Amino acid sequence: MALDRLPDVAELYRDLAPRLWRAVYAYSGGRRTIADDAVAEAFARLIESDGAVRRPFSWLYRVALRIAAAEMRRESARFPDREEVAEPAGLGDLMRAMRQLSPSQRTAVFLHYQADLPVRDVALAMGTSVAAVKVHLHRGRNRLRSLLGTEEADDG
Amino acid sequence: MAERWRRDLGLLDRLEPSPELLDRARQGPRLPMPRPRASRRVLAAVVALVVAAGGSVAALAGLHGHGTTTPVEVGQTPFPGLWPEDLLADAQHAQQQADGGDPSVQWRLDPEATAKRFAAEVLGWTDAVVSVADAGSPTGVIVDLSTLPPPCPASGCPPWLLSRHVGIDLDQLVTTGPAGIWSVTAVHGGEFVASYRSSGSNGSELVTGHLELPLRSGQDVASGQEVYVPLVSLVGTDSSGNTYEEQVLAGYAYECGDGTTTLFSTVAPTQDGIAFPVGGSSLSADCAEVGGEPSPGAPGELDRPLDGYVFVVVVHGSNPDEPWVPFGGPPPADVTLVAMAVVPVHFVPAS
Repeated sequence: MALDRLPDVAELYRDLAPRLWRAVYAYSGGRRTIADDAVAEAFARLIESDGAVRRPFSWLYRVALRIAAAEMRRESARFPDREEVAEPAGLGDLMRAMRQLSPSQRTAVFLHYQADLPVRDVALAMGTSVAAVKVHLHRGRNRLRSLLGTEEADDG
Repeated sequence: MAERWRRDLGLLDRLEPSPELLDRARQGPRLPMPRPRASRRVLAAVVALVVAAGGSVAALAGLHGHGTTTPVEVGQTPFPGLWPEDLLADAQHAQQQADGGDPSVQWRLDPEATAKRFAAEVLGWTDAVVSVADAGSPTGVIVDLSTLPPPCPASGCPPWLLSRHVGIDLDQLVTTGPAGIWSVTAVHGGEFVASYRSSGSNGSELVTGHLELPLRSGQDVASGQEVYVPLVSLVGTDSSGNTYEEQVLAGYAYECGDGTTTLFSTVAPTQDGIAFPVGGSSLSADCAEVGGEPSPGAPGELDRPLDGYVFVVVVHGSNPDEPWVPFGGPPPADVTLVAMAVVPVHFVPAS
């Protein structure tokens, strides 16, 4: 490992980590621990790669999401009935609705509509095709629309 | 009308990762590296249906090392790409990546590798046999994909489905020649062979099914037009006595900017096939431009031309409430894709 040869990791972390963390948080349906572990682990592997990663943006997303998926599978196998998720204030409705989506739908919706990534960057980050992202977005949008409704409907 | 889910998504900005994560990262990896999912079990009994024209592999090989690179002229004709990109701008971006030597897209320069990737990522056939059926044009090839029987469930192996096979068209849509990326431009249903016992009969028979959409790639399709597809539908029991019924999903998709709206049509059985209407939904105004959000409008005719595609898929085990959608990723483990046909078309107002 050569931390000294990667002076930009701290800068990369500052620019990317909060959004990456929120993407994993959304993907995992609101599990802070999984988001923490996946982001720390992805950056650890980036540091370990010693500069071999040419496109850290999409690489970090793919690695973090893969780690999160593995952690969720592991958690589900060990505690099949556990659904311990503490909702931060004001986010309860959103996270309950997000959990009705598939993990891929959650990630695509978050990256495109919250993080403002174009579809092709979402596809790169998720390691899938543009066409698949479009389908995830379409389904996720429809689901959230039906679950959360509109301002008018909500206010009225 | 503002949508609440969009506003609520902004609330996620309040959340911050734990402050010590970078320090944790600097201490090195702690978790085991996740492995890719195990590939499907390969069964020994294989009846692969491969249609390969003699000499076609040699013809394909000839496409790789020779020829000059030429940008494809892009006019007002509809963009016929289906996968991996269905928009010209996205295909041009991928071509730029390939031109820049991006290793993540080098497989796009090989039509056979592109076909294999399509088989795994769209059809879920990770063990597909790829054979070039026709390399008649320097910028287009037809590839046949065939696969083994689906894996046996734990309860036993119903050997009803012996082979599946689809043909796909691949074309160079941005740049031709050895530096041009390949895109899938049509999916032909091909054939499937099943050992099958029809309702009320005692013995099994070998059935060959064939699926083909009667549409040409890029052709105009009038809003609301009905498409008729001859199709053998299998309903009965497999040779293990299990009830077996295929689901036929048919419909169309509109492509607008950053999104694809997929609409399932009502499928009407006919004497020897199915019929279903396509392009029968209007669209809200925000589908007009690249970057717009597609959302299906009220039923009714289109008021402007629009690119899209028509599809028919034959599946087994798909959840009727959330059916498998072509190009939305490979079918889940409990869904068997039997056949699939997709043709890109240009939807136009009926009058």
